[in-house]
Amino acid sequence: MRKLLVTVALIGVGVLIAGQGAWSKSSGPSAQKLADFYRIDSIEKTWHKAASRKDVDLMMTLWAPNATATIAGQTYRGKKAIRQLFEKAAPFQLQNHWESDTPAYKIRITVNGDRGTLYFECHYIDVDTQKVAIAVGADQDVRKINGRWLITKLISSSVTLKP
Amino acid sequence: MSVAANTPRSDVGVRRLFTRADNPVVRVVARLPAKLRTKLLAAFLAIAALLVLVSLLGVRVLGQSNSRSEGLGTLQKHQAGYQAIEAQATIVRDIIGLCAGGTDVFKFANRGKATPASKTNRCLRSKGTVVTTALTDLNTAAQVNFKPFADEAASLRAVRRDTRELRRVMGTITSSKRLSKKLQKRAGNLANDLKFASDALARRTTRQTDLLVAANRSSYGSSRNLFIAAAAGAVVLALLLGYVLSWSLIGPIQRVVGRLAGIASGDFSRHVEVANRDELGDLGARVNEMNDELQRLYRELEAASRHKSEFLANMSHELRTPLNAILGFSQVLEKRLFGELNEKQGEYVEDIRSSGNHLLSLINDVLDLSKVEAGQIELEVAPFSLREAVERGIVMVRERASKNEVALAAEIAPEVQVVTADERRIRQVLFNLLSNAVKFTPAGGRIEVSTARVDGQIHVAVADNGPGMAPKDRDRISE
Repeated sequence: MRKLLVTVALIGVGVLIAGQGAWSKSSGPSAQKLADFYRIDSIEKTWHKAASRKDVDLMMTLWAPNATATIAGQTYRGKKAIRQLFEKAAPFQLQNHWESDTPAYKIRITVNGDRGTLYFECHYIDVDTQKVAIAVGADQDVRKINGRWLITKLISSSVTLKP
Repeated sequence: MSVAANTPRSDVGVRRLFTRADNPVVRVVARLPAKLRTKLLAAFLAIAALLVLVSLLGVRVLGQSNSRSEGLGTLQKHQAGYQAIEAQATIVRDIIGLCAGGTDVFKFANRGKATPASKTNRCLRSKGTVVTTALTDLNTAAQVNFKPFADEAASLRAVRRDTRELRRVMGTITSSKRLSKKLQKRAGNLANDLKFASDALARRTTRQTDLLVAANRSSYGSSRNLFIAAAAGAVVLALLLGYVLSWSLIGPIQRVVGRLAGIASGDFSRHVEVANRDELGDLGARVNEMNDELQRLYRELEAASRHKSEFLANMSHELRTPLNAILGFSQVLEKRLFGELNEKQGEYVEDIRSSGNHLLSLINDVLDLSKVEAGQIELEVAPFSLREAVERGIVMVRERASKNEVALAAEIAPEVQVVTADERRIRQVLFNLLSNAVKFTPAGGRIEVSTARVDGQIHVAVADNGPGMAPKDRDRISE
């Protein structure tokens, strides 16, 4: 009888372990999605890191080879054109002592497989005047290419400065 | 008992729990004042109730899953509608953003001055048709074919309101030749508001869908654990009930069987202990009653047998006393110690002596039998010569054997000389065997007596070539 009880207990433990394994497996996609959210969110952090340090090379690591960027009614196609845009952009000029940041509530991320969207608003703060120098919105399409999330399309516009 | 003395109390408790017949749980079940069929029925009902409970849980979980699926369907419908709104709002915002990017965007691009308002106005006019079409599509998408939830209604109303307002502003811009920075800014802000509102709607339904999916997953885990627990509980309960019930039946039956075996072997000194208050308890009580009754009858029979044997022993002793006188005086007369007898008298005296001897042998047989039954046989064990005992037995039957023309022979092993036994009984047995052999061996036959020592025992064999003994009588030879 004792052997029978031990056998039943072992079967029960096996069933629980198998069930737990199935449970862990079912939570897999959620974990993947969270990882994707984290990596897309890292684009926004890297963007502001690059802008604050005036590091165009770092900025260009965020862009896909055939990406487009539409800013102030003009569209720049390809990484070369986009690099030229940022080399001329105000935040990357040495005379502008700007720090860039984004309020967390102005960041929106969606993920659908290997494609997603990223929206954030950049607040460039002039450290000399302690005021917001400019505020622009960046609406982007992102895509996972070779395991990395990169910007494929950017449309920038003015923002309303309200949530 | 030594185990209990040398083992911790907790271990003894566990051991008692798993000692089948000595299990306190089994004893409790056995002592329940209910019939066997009631106990079995209760056990089956308990298991059936658990199964019904599991089934009800399953139905409940299925119902919850169904309602969640319906909710998911509704949310997906909302999500599809709001994503369509968001898509159109994005198009509108992007187009207007291209034309009326705002001062900051130009500052960011470091392109010196912002686009002149006139250029922006021209841009908006050129895109007017596209924007109007997009706004029409947005307005159509905002007329959703489902009832929005309460928390969605305000955002949806805002989208409809902003769409109408943006259409009006765009209409004014495209129809007017006069520049209006205020209207350009208004159009840009409305486009952004539309985008934010539609984003909020889409995000809300996406979040609710994710929450529902997560709730569904969590519910699945809970339901799975609940079912596993219920199934394991049913198995354990079935095993426990089967274990307890079976041993509450088997234990008493084993004890009753043991007691019946004791009764069959003549042991009436004990009672069977059956704690059950069911049919098995009644069986145990009846067995005890039978034991007592058989013990009483056995004692009565024993006493009657003892009285009979004592009576026979006394009677045979009393009978031999006058018989000795009859035999003695008949021998005296036969030997003519008191004068001659005529032929008839001699014949009668011989008959008296012969009949007296026969009667004496009968009385001796009765006396021996009564002594055996009365347990009064006492062996007189002492060393004696087996060779002499065998030779005397042969001498006693030799005359009769020669009359029947039967040859007698003895082969005494050299190592068999003096043995320790009751000489009188040995000689009696040997004489009986030889008498029977002489009696049943046909003329010309042969009787052989042999002795041997085998494995420390003395074997005495009497063999003849007579008809032998019937197989059915062989078992009675030692009675």
